[in-house]
Amino acid sequence: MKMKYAALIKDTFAEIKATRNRFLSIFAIIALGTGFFAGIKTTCPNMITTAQAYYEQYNLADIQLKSTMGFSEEDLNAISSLIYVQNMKPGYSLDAFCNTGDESSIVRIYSIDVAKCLTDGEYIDIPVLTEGRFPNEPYECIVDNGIMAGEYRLGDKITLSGEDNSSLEDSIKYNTFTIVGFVQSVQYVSFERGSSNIGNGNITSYMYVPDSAFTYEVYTDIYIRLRDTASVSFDDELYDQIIESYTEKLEKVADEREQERYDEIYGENSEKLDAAQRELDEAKEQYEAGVEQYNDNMASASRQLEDGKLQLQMLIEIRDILAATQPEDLKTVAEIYPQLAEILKTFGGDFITLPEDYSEIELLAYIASLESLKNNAAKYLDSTIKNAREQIKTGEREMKEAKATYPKQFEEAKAELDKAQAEIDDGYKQLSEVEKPTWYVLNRSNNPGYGSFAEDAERIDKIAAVFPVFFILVAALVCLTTMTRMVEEQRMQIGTLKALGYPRFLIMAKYLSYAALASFLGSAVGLAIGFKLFPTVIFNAYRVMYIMPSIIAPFKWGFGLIVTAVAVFCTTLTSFFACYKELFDTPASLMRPKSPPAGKVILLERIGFLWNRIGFLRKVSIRNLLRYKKRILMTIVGVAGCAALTFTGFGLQYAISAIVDLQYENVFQYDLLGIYESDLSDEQRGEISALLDKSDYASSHIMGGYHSVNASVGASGTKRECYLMVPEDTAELKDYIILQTRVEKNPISITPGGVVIAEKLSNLCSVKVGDKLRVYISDTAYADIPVSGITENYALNFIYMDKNTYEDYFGKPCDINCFMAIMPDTTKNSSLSTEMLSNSHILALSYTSESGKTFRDLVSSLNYIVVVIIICAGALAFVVLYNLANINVTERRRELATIKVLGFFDGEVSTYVNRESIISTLLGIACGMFLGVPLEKFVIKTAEVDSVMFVPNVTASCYIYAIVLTFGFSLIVNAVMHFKLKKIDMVESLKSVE
Amino acid sequence: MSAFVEMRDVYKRYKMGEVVITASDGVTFEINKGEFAVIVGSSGAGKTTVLNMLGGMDSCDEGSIIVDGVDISSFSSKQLTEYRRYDIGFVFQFYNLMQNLTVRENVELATQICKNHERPEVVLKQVGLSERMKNFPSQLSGGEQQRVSIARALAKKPKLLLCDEPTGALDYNTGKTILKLLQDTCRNEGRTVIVITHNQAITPMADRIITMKSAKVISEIVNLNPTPVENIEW
Repeated sequence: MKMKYAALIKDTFAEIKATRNRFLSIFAIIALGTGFFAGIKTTCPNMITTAQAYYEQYNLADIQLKSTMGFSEEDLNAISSLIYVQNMKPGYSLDAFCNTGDESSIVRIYSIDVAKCLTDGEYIDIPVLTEGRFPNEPYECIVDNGIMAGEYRLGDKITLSGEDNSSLEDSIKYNTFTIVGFVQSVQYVSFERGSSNIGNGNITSYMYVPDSAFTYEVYTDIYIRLRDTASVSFDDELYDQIIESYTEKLEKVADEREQERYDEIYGENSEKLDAAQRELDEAKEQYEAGVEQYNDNMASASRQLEDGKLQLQMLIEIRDILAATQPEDLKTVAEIYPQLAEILKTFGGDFITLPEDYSEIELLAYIASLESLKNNAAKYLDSTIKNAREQIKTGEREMKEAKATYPKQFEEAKAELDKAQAEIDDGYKQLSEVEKPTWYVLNRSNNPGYGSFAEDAERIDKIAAVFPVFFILVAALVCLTTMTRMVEEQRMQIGTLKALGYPRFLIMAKYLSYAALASFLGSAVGLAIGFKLFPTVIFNAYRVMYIMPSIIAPFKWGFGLIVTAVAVFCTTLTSFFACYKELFDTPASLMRPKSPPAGKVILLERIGFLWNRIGFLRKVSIRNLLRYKKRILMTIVGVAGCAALTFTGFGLQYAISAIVDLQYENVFQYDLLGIYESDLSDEQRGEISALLDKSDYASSHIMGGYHSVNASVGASGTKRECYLMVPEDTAELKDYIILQTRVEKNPISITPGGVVIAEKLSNLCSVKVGDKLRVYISDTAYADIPVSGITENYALNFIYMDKNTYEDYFGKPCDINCFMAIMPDTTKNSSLSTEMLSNSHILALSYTSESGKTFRDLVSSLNYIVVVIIICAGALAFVVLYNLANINVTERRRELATIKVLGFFDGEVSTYVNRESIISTLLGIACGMFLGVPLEKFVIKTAEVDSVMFVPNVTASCYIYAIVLTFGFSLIVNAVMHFKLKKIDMVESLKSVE
Repeated sequence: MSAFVEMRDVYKRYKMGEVVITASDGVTFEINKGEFAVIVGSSGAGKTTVLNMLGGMDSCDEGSIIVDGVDISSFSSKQLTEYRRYDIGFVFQFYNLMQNLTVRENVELATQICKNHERPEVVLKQVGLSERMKNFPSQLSGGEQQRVSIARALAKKPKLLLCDEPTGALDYNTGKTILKLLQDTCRNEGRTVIVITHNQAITPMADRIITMKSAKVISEIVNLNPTPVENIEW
C-alpha cells in the first residue's frame, strides 16, 4: 500500500523543495493572518486574566468601608461576623504633607500589619516588594516605587507634616520615617494617586507604615473580601452584580452600626455631661448656701450691732441719770427706770428701807449705802459702757472686714460656676449637633485606573473583531492565485500522471497536501508567534500607563486548533477549486502547452483619437491590464484592503486624538469646575463666589447644579450614565459651555420645557429632537422630557436643562452644587486649590487643563495599536503584491525574455511590468479609499466606549498618509521585482516546452 | 575582406554543481557580410550556444567574438543590450510574439526602441502580411506568425539576422516559404543571415556551412553555388 503512494509523497516533498518561494508565500500569508487574528483576539482576554491573577495574588479588596467617625471594636466585630465576608482587614490611613526640599506634596499613608502580611497569604492588599524589606520598627516605612523611587533611596528619611505645618501627633507617632523598601500596590494600577481633601487635593504618592505607628483610637478603614467573588473575574457582569447586592447589605449593616455608634457616643457623652451638670448643681447649691449664710450672718451681726448701740445708748442714758440722781432719790428713780433698778439690785439694791423712826446714824448709813450703791452702779455702768463700746467697735471692724472679703470671693465663685455651666451648656449643644456617623461603602471603581484598564481592554476587543477578517480574506485570495498558478505550471505533469493512469484524487492529493502543509505550518508558526507577540506588544504599550505585571499570554490550544483548522480548510478548498478545472481536462490537452489568452480589441481602442495619442508601450500596459483580469483584480483587492486598513488606522487615531482638542475647543470653555455640598446656604455659596472673585483667580464664574443621572428611552431602555447640568442663569452658560449642532454649528439654547443632550447620548438612546428622553435623578424619580436640541460633545454624556424645567418635572428645585470658572492665569491653579479646599464645603475641583491631559494619555496608548495595525496592513500589502508580482513574472517569463532579447534595457523591462502594477495599485488605492471610509466609520462605532463619541470626520491627512504608505509599499515591491527581472535568463526562458 | 562575423577560440563552460559542461569548446569560424550561413549539427552539438553568444544573450568564458569589427565578448551587460537592440534581429523557433498585440504592434515593439528602423508597414509588406496587420497572433497560422517574427527582426535593420530553427515548428511547405523569405532578404538586401538547424538537407542553400559536433566546429565549408530553396527537397 505504502509503495503506491511513496512516489507521490516524494514528489510532493520535492515540489516543496523546488518551489520554496511559493510554499513560503502561502506559509507567510497564513502565518500573518492567523498570527494577527489570534494575537489580537486573545489580547483582551489575556489582559483581563493577567489583571485578575494580579488582583487575586495580592488579594485586592472588593469593598472598602470608611466612616466619618472611624470604626470601633464593635463595628469591626459587626463586619467580621457577617457570613458573606471572607476576610476583613481594619486599617488606618492618613493624608499628610511630605516635604522634599522646598516643595511639599501630599502623600497617603496606609497602615500595614507587617507580621500578618508576611505570613498570611490571605492578607488583603499585600504590597508587592520590589526593593528592600518590610518595616520592622514603627518608624520605618515602605514607599510607592512608581513615584518615590525617582527622588528617594533606601535609607532616606521622609518628613511629614499636617496642614499649615500643624503637628500630626493626634494621628501618628512620628513625623519622620526611614525608607526601608519600595513597593507596588495592587490598589493603584495607573499612575494616578487619587485625591485628598487637604492642600490642593492632589495626592502624589503613597506609603505604608506599621499599625503601631498610628495613634488613632479608632480605625479609619475596613477592607473586605467577599466570599462570593472568589472565582469571579472582575470583568464579569456577575462581579458587578455581586458587589451591588452586598453593597446594599453592607449599607443596611452600616445604617444599624451608624445608629448604634451614634447612640453610644451620644449616650457616653450625655452621661458625662449629666454627671458634670450634677456636680455643678451641687456646687451651685453650696455656693448659694454660702451666700445665704453670709447674708444671714451679716444681717444678724448688723442687728446685734444695732441692739448693742441701742443698749449702749440706754446705758449712757442711765449712767447720766444715775450721775444726776441723788442717792436719796435712787429708789424713786429706780422705780422709774427698771434697768437702773436691775443694776442696783445686783449691788444690793434692795433698798434698805428706813424705819419709820430713823436715827441719824441710820440715816447716814442709809445715805452712805445709797451712795456706795450709786458708785458701784456708776462704776459698773462705766465699765459696761466701755466694754460695750469696745464690742461695738470690734463688731463694726469685723463687719467691715467681712464686707471687704466675702463678696469678692462670692463673685469669683459665681464666675467659675457660670463658666462651668457655660462649658456644660456648650457640651450639650455640641452633643446635640453630633450627627450620626456616616459610613461609605466603596468598591474597586474607587481605585485609580481600575475602571479605565477594563475599558481599554474592552476597546481592543472591539477592534479585534473587525481587522483580522481582512487578513483572512486576503489570505484566501493569495492562496487561490498561488495554487492556480502552480497547477497551471504543472499541466504537463498532471497530464502525464493522468495518462499513466493515476486517479484524479491522487493527483489532486499532491496539491491539496502541498497547500494544507503550507497552511498548517504557517498557522502553527503564526499562532506560536501571534499568541505571544501581539498581546505582549500591546500590553507593554499599555504598561506605559498602567502598573501591571507582564501579560500572561498562553497558547490557547482550543482556539488555536480551530483557527488552524479553518486556515487549512480554506487553503485546501481554494486549492481544490484551482485544481478542479485542470483535472477534468483530457490528458492530451493537458500535455499541450496552454494556449495563452488571446488578445482582444479593447473598448478604448475604438476611441480612435484617444488611442492614437497614447504612447505605444502604454497601450501595451492597458491591454495587459485587461488581459490578466483575475490577477489585476486581486492586486486591486489586496491593495484596496491595505489602503483601507491604513486609512482606518489613521482615521481611528485622529478620531480619538481629536476628541480632546475638540471637546476643549468647541465645547468646554471653562477652566475650572468645582463641586460643593448641595445644601449650602446662600451665605456659604457667597463665600465661595467671593473666593473666586478674588482678583487674581477667576475672571468670571457661574453656579449651577451638576449631578450624575441616568437616561434611557422609556422604561425598558438601557440606562445610560450621564451628567445633568442645570445652570442658575441659562443665558450665561454659553461663555462656559458651547451648545451647538456639530455639523452646521448652529447655536442651541436651553429652552424651557425641554432638554439639550449630547450627540452621543442621542445615538445611544436613538432619540432625535422632539422625542422624549427619560431622565432619572434617582432610581425611583424620573421624568420623560422632550429633547429640544442635540449638541456637539465628545467626552461624557451631558444633559442640559433650565432650572424651571427641572422644578416642573421633578417637583423640587435643583440643588445648586457647582461652579464653573474662567481662569485667565493657570499658574494660579495650585494656590486656588489650596484655598478652595480649606473651605470644607468644597468637595472636588477639576481643572480642564488636567483632565485634558488624562485624555491625551489615553489617546497615546491607542497610538500603539494603530501602529501595530498599520504595520500589519503594510505587511499584508507587501505579501500580496509580492506574491502577485512573482506570479506575474513567472507566468510571463517568455514574454519578458523576448523583450529582453529584443534589446529592452533592464529599466525598460521593469517599467513594462511595473506600469501595470502601478496602475492597478492606484486603482486599488482609489477603491481602498472608498472602502476605507465606511470601514473607518464602522470601526469607530464599534470601538467607541459609551462615555465617549469619537470624532466622526477624518482629515485630509488620513487620506494622504494612507495613500502615501500604501503606494510606498508597492514601490518597495516593485524595487524587489526589478532585481528579479534582471535575473531572467533569456536563454532558458526561450526554450521550448520540452 | 575581413570577416563580418568572427568567432575565435571561444569557450563556454557551465558549472552544474561539480560537473563542468563545455558547451563551446574552442569554437572558431568566420562569416562574411551578406552571407547566408547555416550552422548545422545534431542535438547538443552546441549550435544554440553559439547563436546565443552571437546574439549577445550570453557571454563567453574565453576567446573573442567580433562582429563588424567590434569585439562583443568584452561587452558589459548594458552594452550587450544595446548591441541586441540595434544590431541584431532574432527569429525564434517558437515565434515568441506578444499575444495581446496586433501583428503591426508586434513589429512596432521592435521599431519603437530602434533609432534607425524600417517602417512596420513596409516590412510587413515585404513578408506579405499587409492585410493581416490588425490581427492578433492567435488569429494567424504558424507560418504567418513566423513571418511576423521575421518582420519584427527585419524592421530593426539589423546588421545580423539570427534564426534559431526557424522552420522547426512548421510543415514542409510553409518551412520552405520561410526559408525563401530569408534567402531573399539575404540576397536582395545584402543582409547577413545565420540559421541554426539540425536539418542537414537545407545546407545546400547556404553560402557557408558550419558543422558542429560536441561543442566544436568540425567543418567550415564555403558553398560557391548555393541552391535556391525551391529546388531543395527533404
